[in-house]
Amino acid sequence: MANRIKKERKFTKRMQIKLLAVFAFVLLGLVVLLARIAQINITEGNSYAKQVLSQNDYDSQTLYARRGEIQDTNGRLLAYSEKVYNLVIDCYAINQDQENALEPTIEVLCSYFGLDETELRYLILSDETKNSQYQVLQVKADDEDQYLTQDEKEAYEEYINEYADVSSSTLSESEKEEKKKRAAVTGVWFEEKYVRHYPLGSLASNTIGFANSLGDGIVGLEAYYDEQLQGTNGRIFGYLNEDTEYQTKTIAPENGYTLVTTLDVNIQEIVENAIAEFDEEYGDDNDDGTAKHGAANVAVVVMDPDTGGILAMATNQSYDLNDPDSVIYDWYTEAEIQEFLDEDEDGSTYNSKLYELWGNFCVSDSYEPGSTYKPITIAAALEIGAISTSDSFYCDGGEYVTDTEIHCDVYPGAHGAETLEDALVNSCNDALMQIAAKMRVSNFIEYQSLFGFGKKTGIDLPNESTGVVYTRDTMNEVELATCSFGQGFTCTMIQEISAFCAVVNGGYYYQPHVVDKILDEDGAIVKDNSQLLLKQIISSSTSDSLKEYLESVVEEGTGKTARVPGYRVGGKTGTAEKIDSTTGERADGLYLVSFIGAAPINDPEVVIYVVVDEPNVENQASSSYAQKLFQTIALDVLPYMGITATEEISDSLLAELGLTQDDVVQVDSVTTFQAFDSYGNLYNDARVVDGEVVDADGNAIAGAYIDDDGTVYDGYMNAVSTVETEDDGEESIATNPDMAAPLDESSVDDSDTTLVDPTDIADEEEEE
Amino acid sequence: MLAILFLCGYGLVILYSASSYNGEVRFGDPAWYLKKQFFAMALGLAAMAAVSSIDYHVLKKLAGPAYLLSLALSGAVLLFGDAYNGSRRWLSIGPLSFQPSEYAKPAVILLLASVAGGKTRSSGQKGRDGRIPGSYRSRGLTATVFLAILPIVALVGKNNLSTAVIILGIAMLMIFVSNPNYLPFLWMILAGVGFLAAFLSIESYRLERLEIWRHPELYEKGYQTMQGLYAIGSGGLFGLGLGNGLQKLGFVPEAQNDMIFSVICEELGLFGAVILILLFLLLLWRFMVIATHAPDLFGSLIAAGIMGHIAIQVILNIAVVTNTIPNTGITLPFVSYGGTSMLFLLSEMGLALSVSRGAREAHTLAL
Repeated sequence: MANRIKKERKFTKRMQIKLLAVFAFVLLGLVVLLARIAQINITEGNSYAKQVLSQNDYDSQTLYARRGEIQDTNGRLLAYSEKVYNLVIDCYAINQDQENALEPTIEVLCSYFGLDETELRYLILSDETKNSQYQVLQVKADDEDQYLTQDEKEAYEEYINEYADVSSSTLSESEKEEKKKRAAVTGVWFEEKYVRHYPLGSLASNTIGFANSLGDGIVGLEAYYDEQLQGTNGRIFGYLNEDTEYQTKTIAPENGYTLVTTLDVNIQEIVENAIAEFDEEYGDDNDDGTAKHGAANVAVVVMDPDTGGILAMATNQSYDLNDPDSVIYDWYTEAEIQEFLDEDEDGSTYNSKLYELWGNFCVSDSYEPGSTYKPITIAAALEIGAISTSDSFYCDGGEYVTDTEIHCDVYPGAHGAETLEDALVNSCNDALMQIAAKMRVSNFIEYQSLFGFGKKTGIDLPNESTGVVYTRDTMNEVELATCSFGQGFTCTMIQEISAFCAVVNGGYYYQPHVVDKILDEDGAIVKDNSQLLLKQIISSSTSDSLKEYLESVVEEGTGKTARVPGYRVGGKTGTAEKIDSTTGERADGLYLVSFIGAAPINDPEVVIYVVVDEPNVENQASSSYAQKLFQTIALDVLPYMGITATEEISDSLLAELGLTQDDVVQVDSVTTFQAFDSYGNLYNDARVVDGEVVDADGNAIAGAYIDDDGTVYDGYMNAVSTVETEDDGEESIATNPDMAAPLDESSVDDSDTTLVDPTDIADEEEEE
Repeated sequence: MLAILFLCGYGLVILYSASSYNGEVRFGDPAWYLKKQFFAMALGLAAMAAVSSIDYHVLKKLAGPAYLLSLALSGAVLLFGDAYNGSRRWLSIGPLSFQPSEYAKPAVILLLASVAGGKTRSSGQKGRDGRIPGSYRSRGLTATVFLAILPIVALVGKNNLSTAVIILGIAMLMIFVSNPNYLPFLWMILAGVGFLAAFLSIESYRLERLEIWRHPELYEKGYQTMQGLYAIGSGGLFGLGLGNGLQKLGFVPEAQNDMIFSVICEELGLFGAVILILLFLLLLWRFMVIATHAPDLFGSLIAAGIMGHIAIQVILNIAVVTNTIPNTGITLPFVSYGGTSMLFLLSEMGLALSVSRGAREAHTLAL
């Protein structure tokens, strides 16, 4: 076999060399071609690239997509885009038929739009522009937006076609003349585009943000959801087909998605009015044209603790979204602004100042939270069993941690012996240090992280800051002690309020969010954020204890100023001494005061967090500024939200708080109670109206009834209330104070009934 | 082998990017060209697998008939072919259309390999005087070969000059390699030039092409060339990014065919072009190695022929796109859109693999 192979003529050496030569030749050829490509790129690259772009301008036209709307939770428009038109003339087309088209076109345009005839004639006929097919006409005064609204465009079109369908015989001579003239108008067309409007001006400006004239979102939701809002521009392409005929093809634009936010314009307005009042009250009168500011920062976040949705978010740095640059005049004098402009040639100092003002304190700025963090420390300590609700503490005015002495606020005084509740009510640093010490560093850090501190909450707003917290490696006893009462680490408002919501809502941590739903053009849901439960951090019993303590804080503790007559409010104050950013030392006299509160505390429907950073007052170290702001807001927000006032309002309370009857909502005389319907849904504010058991909206609660003795039973046959029949026949209601959950067997007549345990409901929620 | 698959994949991606606009415009489906090409590629890969598994020696006997068939088909296309893009190059069989000129290329390679390989072998048996076998009859052989391929060149060249040039080029390269002399090639090249000149003078539009080549910007028909150059020029070092090219949007005519290289340059830049060319070089190198190690001259010549085929097409295509030579319709192997071309190119790869396998077997046997 090997022999046969040998006999066959194989490829000779010489052939191989020749083949190699061929290969070398090919190699050479390819290298030459590559060099040619490189040469084209180097010598002609720029001009060819320009050519490509210019023929795209010429041969294809963009069809702009409409930027999506932003709505509040009730469908109120916060931002929308309006279709407008540029008036464009095609000089080339006019010149093609110069004889017939030129004069009528000039005449009609000048008379209708009041254009300057000489300028227009020059534009059409000059060598520079006579072949141009795209010249945008300046149809309005220089200081106005240079576009026509849809109505203006349609009016023009109507004008042009006024006589088009009218038979000449019925027209007068001058009308005939006019008809002929208008029909001869050539090369005038409208280019569609969109402009962005913010109908509510500065409302929720720090949250909504704005898009620039090119339709790019710059800050706020407009920036965060830029991609979803933008949509996809369409295009009309012109191209040459095989027979070199010019043809066009249209790719329709896809309009942007609509954002339905959780914001409520009414709540936002209440909050912003309160902030404005605060600025008015505490701000200095400035004769330099800047606005009054009651503090370096005033910021408020209102959140729905059951969804994590932001109901309102406002700062005292709001600005007109339709004219965002003007905000700089609120904060800086003309001289200062000129200084920024002179600072550098490209205006970067000026721009950075603007971006600073457009920022959103609530998500982008971090600070030491102070005592508002204490409920979180206590909740974590209770949860892991480091302390129990029956523990007591002794405050001697301070604590030696290793060799550092850390004082309680009352030092040189002391709180003495305290229960756990007292510790929070007194906002006692000493007790909190003892609690944190029992927790140990690792647990403290674990729970701090579980509550979302030290990392982004993931709220759908740009430039979220994480704050700075200690790690296991950097936290020692001293740091642990100060962190226990909210000093030594920093957080953002959104972190604090999200964590606080979990403390008061039964332990559930929801993803904080502003956008509830994203809808496409047809209203179909593209994305639904409405219930984003991330985790349960603490048990509902821990949460219940904290709610009790927080209510005491407001009722009898440091938060008394925040009381809202008629409502059960639970909350916590915060007074944090600030650190001088230049020296790194505690800055004497500079404070960030705050109040965070939930109402009604027994089943919170709203959480309001107020931060006043460096109030413009002599003695800043008083959380009352924040508490007062909270109260003002809550007094309007709670009734607006349909939350029933449950508490008696005494005149002495009003006097104490400096309020009048007009400031507060009148207590609903109807007594409410909790009741399950037969499907297991719990109604917190069930009531008896006209002998029927109904919910807050007056809808009958299925399965609930009143027996002959006047006892009210809910859908699970729990006796939940009684109706006493008095002599005069009027009904009055006494609520059973020990309202029974369905599992409370003492009040269940039929033990065979399948009952829903509230904890099951909680579990179900968690699963969702 | 990997190089082939990679080239095919690269080709598909580029093809999709380049053709989606035309597909959308003409057929309402951006993937229209991709789907067809994918189908052809699947068919081609199957053919490649099939061809690579048969012993290529079998084809030696079939070379003659195969060649005659290609003649017949090329003749048929002149009479019954479908015109598309102004040239009559397609034969329709049911729903499939087929380009006989693509088939002619492997047919010619096979024929030449069998003739040259066969003849040299017989002469080799005689040549025991130490002289290099084959030289006796080289002139005669060359003449024979030239005569043998003339009909197909003429037939194909009737309406597809570029393919005719490729076939001539392949033939020349194969004879050059198999023939120990250099001299005959001088007159062959002259003959080739004469042939070209004759063609150019017969039809004036070909002369016009020369003018367009020299000043593409002055002629309306230089549009394609200029647009191709714009595309290359705007690509820069790394291009605009896959899918971001603007020129394929109706500006570069036939962006998915002959001019696809310009799309590569625009979207992937010089970098992408270098990668593609390196892939082709790798492929060509493999063919050369296969040719060198083939167990017999027939196999070597097949490999050399295929190498010539690919090399000529790649060089000519890129040269056209960069306006280094006058515009003529030559596709870029494995990348340009074209079902028939893809099918036969992959079959040729199968052939080369078969030769390669033969070489390995022979090697094993020799051991």
